[in-house]
Amino acid sequence: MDYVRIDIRKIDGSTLNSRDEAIKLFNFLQGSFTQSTIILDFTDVDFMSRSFADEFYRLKTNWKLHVKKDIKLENENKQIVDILNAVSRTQYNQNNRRELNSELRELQFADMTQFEEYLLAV
Amino acid sequence: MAEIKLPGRITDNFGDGLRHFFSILEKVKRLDTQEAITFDMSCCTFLTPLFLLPFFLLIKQERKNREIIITPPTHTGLSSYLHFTHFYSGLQPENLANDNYLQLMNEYGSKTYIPILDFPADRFNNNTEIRDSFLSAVNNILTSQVQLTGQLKTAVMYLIDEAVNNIVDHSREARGYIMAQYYSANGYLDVCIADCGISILGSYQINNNTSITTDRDAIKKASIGVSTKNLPDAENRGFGISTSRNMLINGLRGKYSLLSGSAILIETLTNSGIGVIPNNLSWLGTIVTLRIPFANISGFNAADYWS
Repeated sequence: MDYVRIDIRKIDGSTLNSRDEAIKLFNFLQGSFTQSTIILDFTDVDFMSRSFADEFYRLKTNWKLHVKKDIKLENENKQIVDILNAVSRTQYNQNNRRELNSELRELQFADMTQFEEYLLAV
Repeated sequence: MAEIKLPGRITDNFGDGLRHFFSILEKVKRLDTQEAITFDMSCCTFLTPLFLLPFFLLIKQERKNREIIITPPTHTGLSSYLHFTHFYSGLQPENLANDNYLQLMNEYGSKTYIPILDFPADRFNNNTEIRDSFLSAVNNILTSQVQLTGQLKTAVMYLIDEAVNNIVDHSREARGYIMAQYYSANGYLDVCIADCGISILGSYQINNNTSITTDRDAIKKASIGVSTKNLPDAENRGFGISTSRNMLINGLRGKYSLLSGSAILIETLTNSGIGVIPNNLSWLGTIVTLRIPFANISGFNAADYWS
């Protein structure tokens, strides 16, 4: 197979924290690779944040549409697999939102004393 | 010159730090906007990050308009704590040479706290790299301090990352702040993450979301995952707060608060709600406090709370 292997840890480190790191990775991929397949190797990457995952998923989807090269992921740990699955299920889909608001009641504080008493009790 | 006396100690109660912070904020707001203030900390013996970081930011904001003098604590333990946690100035990662920064971050791995870190929250120059490097260091420190592993490590990293990324994505402010303390005897980690930005309501308004008009509504919408970006390709951006709440409260049985503008959301397993702070008090920006316990988490799986 005609491929190039990219060591993610060397580009973004062992924790993938932000959208900017995903953008940095894809800017790097825009370089002059001639191979038809790009393998992203997540060996020794401990953690991927939701922000990174969201941006990564969006950029990867755009890449699929515009660039005639495959991207494959390898050696990703369970946390990375789970967070990428989560963003793929939720991106562009508002119906997946959790209905948490019903759990939250309206708090009324007549004055500072009442407010402070509430805080002390939490 | 006005004098404001600080409390002797903050109790273990999750809301007590914010309670004392608001009490001081109310006293400050009653004064003439340019009147000098002395904050008397001489009787303080025990203060926590959930009070110290908001108070640090209040001083920072008030110093823009008036003279602020601090009478330091006479208690030697607290005095040292304030020194080592950089309470008087905050620690700015970019002002340290790379070697010093890495060495310093390594040293914190053997402590029980993360000092007040004053980190770049914009995307100018190399601030993104500085922030990412500092976030990795914070995560490593916490892992080392609390000896986090497995699902708990993932959860703590997720909670901190989300709060920090919300500052970057929404606050329109150049700086963000974090402070944390691990209480081994009590079995929990307290984390405070804050900014002095445009608040959640401001973020909705700046993105032309005109249907949300109060701080309370803004927190409510943000807490259930409504994106401030109001764009089809940004739907996931609103998910952070709801996921964090859900993971921390239902998964880890911790406690969560979110203060933004004049409203506050407080959530525990038994006591949850959104309220408006009385007396027209407000904080221009956002303050998140987290209490993350490390007991009774068998069967916890972070992925259960991501979607």
